[in-house]
Amino acid sequence: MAGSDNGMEQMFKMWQEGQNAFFGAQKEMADTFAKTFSESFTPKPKDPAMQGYEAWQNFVKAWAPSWDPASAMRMTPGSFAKNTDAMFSIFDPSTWMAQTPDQLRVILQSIASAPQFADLTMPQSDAAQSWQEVLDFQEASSEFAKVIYSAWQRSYEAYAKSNSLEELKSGKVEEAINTWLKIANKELLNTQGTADFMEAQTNLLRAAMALKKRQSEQAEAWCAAYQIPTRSEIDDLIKIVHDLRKEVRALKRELAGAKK
Amino acid sequence: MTADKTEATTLDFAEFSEVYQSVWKDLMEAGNRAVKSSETLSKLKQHDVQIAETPADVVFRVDKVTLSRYRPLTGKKANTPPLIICYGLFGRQTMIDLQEDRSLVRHLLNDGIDVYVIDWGNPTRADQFMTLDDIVLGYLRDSVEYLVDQNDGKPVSMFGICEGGTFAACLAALEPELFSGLALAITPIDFKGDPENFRPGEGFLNSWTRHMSEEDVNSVIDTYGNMPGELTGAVFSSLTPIASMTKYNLGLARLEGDEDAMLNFLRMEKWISDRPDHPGAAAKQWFNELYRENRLVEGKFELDGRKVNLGHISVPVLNIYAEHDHIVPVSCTRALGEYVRPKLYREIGFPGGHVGVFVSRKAQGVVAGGLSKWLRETQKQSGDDAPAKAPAKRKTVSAKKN
Repeated sequence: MAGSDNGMEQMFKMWQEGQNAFFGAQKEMADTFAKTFSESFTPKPKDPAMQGYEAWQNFVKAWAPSWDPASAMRMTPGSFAKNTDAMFSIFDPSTWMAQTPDQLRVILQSIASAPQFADLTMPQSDAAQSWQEVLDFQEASSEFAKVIYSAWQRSYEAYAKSNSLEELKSGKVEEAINTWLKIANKELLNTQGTADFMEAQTNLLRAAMALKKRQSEQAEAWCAAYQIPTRSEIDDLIKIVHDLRKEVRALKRELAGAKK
Repeated sequence: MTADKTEATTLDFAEFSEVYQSVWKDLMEAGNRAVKSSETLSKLKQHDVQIAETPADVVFRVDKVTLSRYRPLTGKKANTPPLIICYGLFGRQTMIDLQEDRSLVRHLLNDGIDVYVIDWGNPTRADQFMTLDDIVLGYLRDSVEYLVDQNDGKPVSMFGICEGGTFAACLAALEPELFSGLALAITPIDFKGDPENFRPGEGFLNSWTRHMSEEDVNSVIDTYGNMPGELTGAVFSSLTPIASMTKYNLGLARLEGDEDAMLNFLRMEKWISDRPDHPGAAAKQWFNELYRENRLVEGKFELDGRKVNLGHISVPVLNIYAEHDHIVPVSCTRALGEYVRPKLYREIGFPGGHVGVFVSRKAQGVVAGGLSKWLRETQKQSGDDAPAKAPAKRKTVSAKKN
């Protein structure tokens, strides 16, 4: 039975290799996910153009070139004084929402766009699509915030260029505020007319609507599961009533015309 | 202003403190003003803030839409046909009667004019399939026909405001025999206008809508069923960003507790907050067919399968526009002049903004007074001489080239 033993041995070896390959694949997948998740919660490297602290430094330097704004920060009590970048990153829209690495998008995309089976529900696919839409909305919000933030930054610069410290020292703060508001309004209005703004606005609207639609779908699924009329069913009825009402109105008008 | 800031004084800590103190002093003064306003505000209650108080009675109703007749304020009777006022669906007609001393309605009633107003009600998702066809050739025409009947079959005058002006112009073009005259205020006719000559801050609605695809517009409306009032309100606020951001802080503080000024402000707030949802199907037509495709001035806009030809408006027209209108730029409103015979067409340019046409003190003389004068001059109606109900002469004017 040497052949048989040899066969068993071969089978066992194959099974063992198969197990190893399976566990290897599992480990690789787990590593990929772990890496992806850890990156997804780590903000991307900061965009130098969007640094609130730098913008503020430039703003202060514009007023008083020889004054070191960092020295003022050192006087500030508390932990922020030790890490001014952390404090000013609060004002940087690019850090408001963690940007998702492309890798996660690829994974979600591959799950969401996988072929569907007729008799199997695919909760993973739905979840991936929902998650993708949330990420799209976060990104669109962040992009929109950046456009607005850059408008504020330009306003600071314009104000610093056109107004001096002496004017502020004159005590006419009300006047200074009015000038500031006028400049900021002008810059915001200019920004609202730019292609960048309209692009960001449209993208935000699209992302928001995709999310809202997904919520509606989920609500409909819940209603259907509990024998509650869905929004779509009610909309269908409303459409029928609307069309009938219109028909009645037209017939009434026709009748009134015939009577005359 | 300092021309060369490179010579700016070095800011040491002492100077920094000096500036800081100066700023602080001013902030304290501003704070005191804010406290005065806050005190006044705390004494005011919701019932102190009333708008649209001129008494009126509902005389006609179709579905949610009502036509009300204002009660006369004096024994005076103008020799003019009844005037029907039609506001749009993006706001509320209460704008024309915000407060006693700033009320277009009161001004007209005091001049003895018989005034009616349409109220579109509160559209809900049950009204999402209501189209502009339904609004103009359904509810609006029904209301006007009712009034014509009440007027012994004689035509009536119409005053359309903003979107309601577009409705009125369309109906006057399709059913001219119903009208003896047409007055419009801040009404978009050419939805593209003249973008090259827009003032700063003007025409955002035009450019934003054109930047969107038909799919984008439909997506918003299909998602909500209607165009939500909150959304249109937010869009209108964003057209004046700094004013919107500062009205509750700097704006209120600067009123320094003046009760009258604060009540004016609160009445306006009450009007702004009462923004109905716009029926979905009609909003799609408004934004796609009119704003995006500019069909009205291109002669391609249809209601119930009938092409709207503005050249068919054959009654005297008064077109009131705001010279600083950030919502409907001047070029969008004045375009109507290209379609109406010059001898029938008059304009009043109001030196103010979109809302100022009705709520500013100056508007009471310029706009309300101007409208009243135009009605009395061009809309005379006496028992025997009144124009009979007959089809008006139609004049075809070719569509404006865009």
